[in-house]
Amino acid sequence: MKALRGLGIGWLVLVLIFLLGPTLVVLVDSINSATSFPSPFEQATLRWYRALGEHEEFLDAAINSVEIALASSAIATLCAFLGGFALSRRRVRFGHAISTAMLSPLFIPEIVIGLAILQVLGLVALPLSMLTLIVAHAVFVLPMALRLTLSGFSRFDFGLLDAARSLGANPARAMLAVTLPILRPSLIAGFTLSAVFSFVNLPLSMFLTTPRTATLPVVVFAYMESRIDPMIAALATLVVLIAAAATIGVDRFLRIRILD
Amino acid sequence: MAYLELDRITKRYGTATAVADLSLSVVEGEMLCLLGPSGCGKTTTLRAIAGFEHVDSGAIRLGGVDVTDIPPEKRDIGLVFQNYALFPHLSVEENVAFGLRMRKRPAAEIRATVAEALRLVQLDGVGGRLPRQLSGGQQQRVALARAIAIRPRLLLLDEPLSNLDAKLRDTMRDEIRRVQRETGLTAIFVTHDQSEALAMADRMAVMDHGRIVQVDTPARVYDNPAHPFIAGFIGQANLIEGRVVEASGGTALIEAGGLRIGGHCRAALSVGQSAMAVIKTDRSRLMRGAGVADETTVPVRVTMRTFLGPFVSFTCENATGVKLSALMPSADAQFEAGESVLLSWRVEDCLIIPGVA
Ligand SMILES: Nc1ncnc2c1ncn2[C@@H]1O[C@H](COP(=O)(O)OP(=O)(O)O)[C@@H](O)[C@H]1O
Ligand SMILES: [Mg+2]
Repeated sequence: MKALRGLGIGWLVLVLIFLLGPTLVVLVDSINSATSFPSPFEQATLRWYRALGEHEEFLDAAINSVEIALASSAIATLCAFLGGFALSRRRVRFGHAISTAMLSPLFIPEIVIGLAILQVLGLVALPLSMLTLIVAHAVFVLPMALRLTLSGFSRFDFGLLDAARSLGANPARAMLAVTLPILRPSLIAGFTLSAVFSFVNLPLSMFLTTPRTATLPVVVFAYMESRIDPMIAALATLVVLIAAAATIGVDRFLRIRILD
Repeated sequence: MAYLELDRITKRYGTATAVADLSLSVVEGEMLCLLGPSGCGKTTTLRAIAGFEHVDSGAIRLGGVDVTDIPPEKRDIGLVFQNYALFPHLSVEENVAFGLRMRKRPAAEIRATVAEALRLVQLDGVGGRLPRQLSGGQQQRVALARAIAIRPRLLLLDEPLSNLDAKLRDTMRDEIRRVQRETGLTAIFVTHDQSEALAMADRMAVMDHGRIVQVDTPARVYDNPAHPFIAGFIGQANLIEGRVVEASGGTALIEAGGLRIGGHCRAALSVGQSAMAVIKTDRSRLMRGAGVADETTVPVRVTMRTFLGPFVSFTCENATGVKLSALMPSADAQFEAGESVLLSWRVEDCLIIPGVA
């Protein structure tokens, strides 16, 4: 029994090291004073973080990324809410096919989605813009929002809407006064997860950004094509911290379950 | 003039007919129990009255106005659901206030009405709690308070006691009846439990396969079931199917499995038609020795004896395999399983009703 438990804990530690180890290495790199990269640890410093401040292109790209993440997640969450409601309320004809289609970006390679969207935009002669980028991201993150929303609706008692209507609420008011507040945790969780996925996405953005709409991952990737230095490690660390803070923050402080 | 009138309503789901050409009148201020086995269309009927199901044909009139095409939120009908359907994100007070908020009543009036509704269901003091912090019985009271707070024109209750344990069920049954009397609301109470219906109803409507088979006071339905289905469904009775051999005035004689059984009848019967003798088990008794005048006596063998506290229930069988039961006070119940005895009842306790086609 005891030996088995020890084995289990050992396995857990291995998995955690495997998952978090690379991130920790990057974090250490970002505060290493050595100028070549990678190199053994010399001395702790924040100079790479200060250096970031001199690269305005990173800040501009970060602002783009945040805007795109917020806008695309808002669209995806709204679609997931309405779609989840319709798919869960009663047995819909082809309901399973519809939800599978809405979840499909999950298992189609992002490069394929990016290429496909680029081609379609070309066909209908729409130029690349912030809007097309946001819509593409919304499609890409929809599965995250939809999965959390569907799981929220699976616990939702649609009889509550009948109760609301018998008390004088028309369908729209019943939705606002009952469905929305009860689904709120799922929607916030879906929104947060979508925003994080959009924020860190590279493959899709590579196809669909212009110099003006370049996102942070795209700019970082372009920068790294010419050189790799500890400043990138500092930037990567910041991105990881922001994404982790958003997810953990919502999970812990709003007590909305994303992380299980 | 009926307050609520269901005029030949029909509701189909695909090829299945849930409610079939059903007509029913409810008088203002009464509590009508809609009684029937599970799946007979009670919920569908209630949902049609509330406006959630659109009937395929027929009309629903409330207070003389045709409401058939009015959406549920404009009908002013209070509903109490089987699973309570309380809003989990709102406190007890907010739940009860919901209907008043939707009606945009002034805050002071809402506060007063909510307090009064909670007092009526004896729930003052828990207004700030969330539904999940309440017991089943308390949740049921909140559901009732929420429905009556809007001063509905009609109160509908769909098996409101079925999720409660037996003891609480009796208390809540009396509570619902008291609240309905105190508010003077017209109510329809749906149940599949005959004792609930008998105890609560001013009048009861017995339903089977989407139709109403009898509407009357509980006592009259109990004593004079109009249909074999009701005879089997309400009260415990010996039901003996046979054919009419004599019929005159208010009495009839039927032959069934070698037995000749006489009794009184209300419907006109003709010789040769199929009929059923209905004898309540508590009017049947076992005895030893010879029969008694004015009683029908059947020699039987006791197959089972079940002690029920104040009563003992005997299951018996006669030589031709007809099964009969008798429910006797424990003091008079000195008979054992396997014993050969006489099962008898007074002729006037036997009702002969027309059989099923
Ligand atoms: N939404 C529905 N779709 C299909 N059939 C239904 C639906 N609701 C009820 N039914 C059918 O209609 C019949 C009556 O149901 P219901 O009114 O719920 O009965 P009760 O409340 O008396 O148990 C049942 O046979 C049931 O299967
Ligand atoms: Mg039902």
